[in-house]
Amino acid sequence: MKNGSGDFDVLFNKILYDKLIALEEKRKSGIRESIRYFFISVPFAAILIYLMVKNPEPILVFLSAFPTFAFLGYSAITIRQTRIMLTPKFKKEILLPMLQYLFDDVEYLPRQRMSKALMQRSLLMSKTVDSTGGDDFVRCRIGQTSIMFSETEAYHGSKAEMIFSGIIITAGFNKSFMTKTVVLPEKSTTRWRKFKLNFSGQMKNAEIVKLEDPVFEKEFMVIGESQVESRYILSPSLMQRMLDYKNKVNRQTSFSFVENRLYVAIPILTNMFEPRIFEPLSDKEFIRINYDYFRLFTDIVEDLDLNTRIWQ
Amino acid sequence: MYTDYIIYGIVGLVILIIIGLYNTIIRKRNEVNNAFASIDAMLKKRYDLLPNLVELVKQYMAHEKTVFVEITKLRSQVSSEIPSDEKLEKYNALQKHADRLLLNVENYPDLKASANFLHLQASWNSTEEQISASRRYFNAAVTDYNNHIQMFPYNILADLLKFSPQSVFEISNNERQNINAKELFNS
Repeated sequence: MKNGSGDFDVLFNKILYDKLIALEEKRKSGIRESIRYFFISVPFAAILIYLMVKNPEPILVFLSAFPTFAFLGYSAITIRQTRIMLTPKFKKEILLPMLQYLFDDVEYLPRQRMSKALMQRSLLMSKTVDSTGGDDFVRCRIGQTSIMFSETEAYHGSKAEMIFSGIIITAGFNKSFMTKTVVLPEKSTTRWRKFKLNFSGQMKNAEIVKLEDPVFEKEFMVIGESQVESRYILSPSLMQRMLDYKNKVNRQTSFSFVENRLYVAIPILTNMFEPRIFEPLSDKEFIRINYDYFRLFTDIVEDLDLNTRIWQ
Repeated sequence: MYTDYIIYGIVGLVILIIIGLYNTIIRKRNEVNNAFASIDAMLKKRYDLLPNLVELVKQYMAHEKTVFVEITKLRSQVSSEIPSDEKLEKYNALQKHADRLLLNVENYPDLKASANFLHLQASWNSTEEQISASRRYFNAAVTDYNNHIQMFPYNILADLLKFSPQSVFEISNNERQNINAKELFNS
């Protein structure tokens, strides 16, 4: 049984290295081609500049401008095509084996993301989610806990106002509960959120839940449908673990507990899990960053002790 | 003429403030009662699990007969008519016996592996955690109520109408002491 931990060096040297070298060759070849077209465009650009200064005859300017921009454009297109060619290979040949090395029952859908319905159900979005974007949907199992996460963007309204961009994680919770509890960053949440949740019908009789941990209270605002059940979910040890996880992620993390599942929203603007074009792909540190992201998002299972199932 | 209106206005405002303060105190007190009722409900839930536990465990632990007799006796003494304090005492006594049974399960591998027992143990753990959550809710409600009746301007009304502070749930000195595992296993 895999638990999300493993020796990175073994993964890198024995499983990924050969594939990375092959991909790196393809990347280099794409870049070389792009650079070649760029350099071909340079003499035309020089002629273009010379003609524009000395003899700005439209036909001559056009004749020299056309190849300049054609080769520059082709250079850019080559870069784009290299990226388009490398992305699925990188995800299938590098990220998927990485996930399979770390976890059991891995399902990786690079072009999928969390659904609109799931985002809405999580209660973590400040406005109604009308459409979503994103990629890199992962579903796997860590011990007894099934976990899903993906890079997701949520949009509101006809003008597609972005209300969230980052990682959404959802995992089976280790206690059964009937009501809903939302734990939001205190700094960016007002009491108005409670009224909105009640008014929209997403929560029933939601109240602010005051908890006894002063550090937790300082960091989070808890809104729950039941004072007792919210405390049943948020045991003192879980509150401490949530604080530790929030500090580890170092972002304004939100949590919710709905229908026996835990939802976590971590706002991140970086586009993760993508190959890079202008730097070596086979760089160990670059691969480690991807490895660490996977570990960080799935560490929630270990960090919140979701595999302890003495209540179910 | 205008002076009269101003006086009526001030009196009306004062009455409204008093009503507001009074209602807040009542709401806080009701929340305390509600929180206490939730502890009672959770204790009852655990109490209802006891017959299942006894029935299941009885098959395996024949020589723990005295514990079963004690549990049955205590259960028969708990009824809705007895005062809350007494009821809590009985619940706690029942808890001690049930804990002893659960602890002895270690000596009965067949019972420990039984699916029914595992399910019952999970329900028991869940109820325990819910009782703990109810107590935390009660303590939060009591603290909030006490803060209100001791703070200005609520304290004026609270003193006049004899609203007294309530005590939070505290564990007994026995429970506060470190657990002596050796003693537990020998009991």
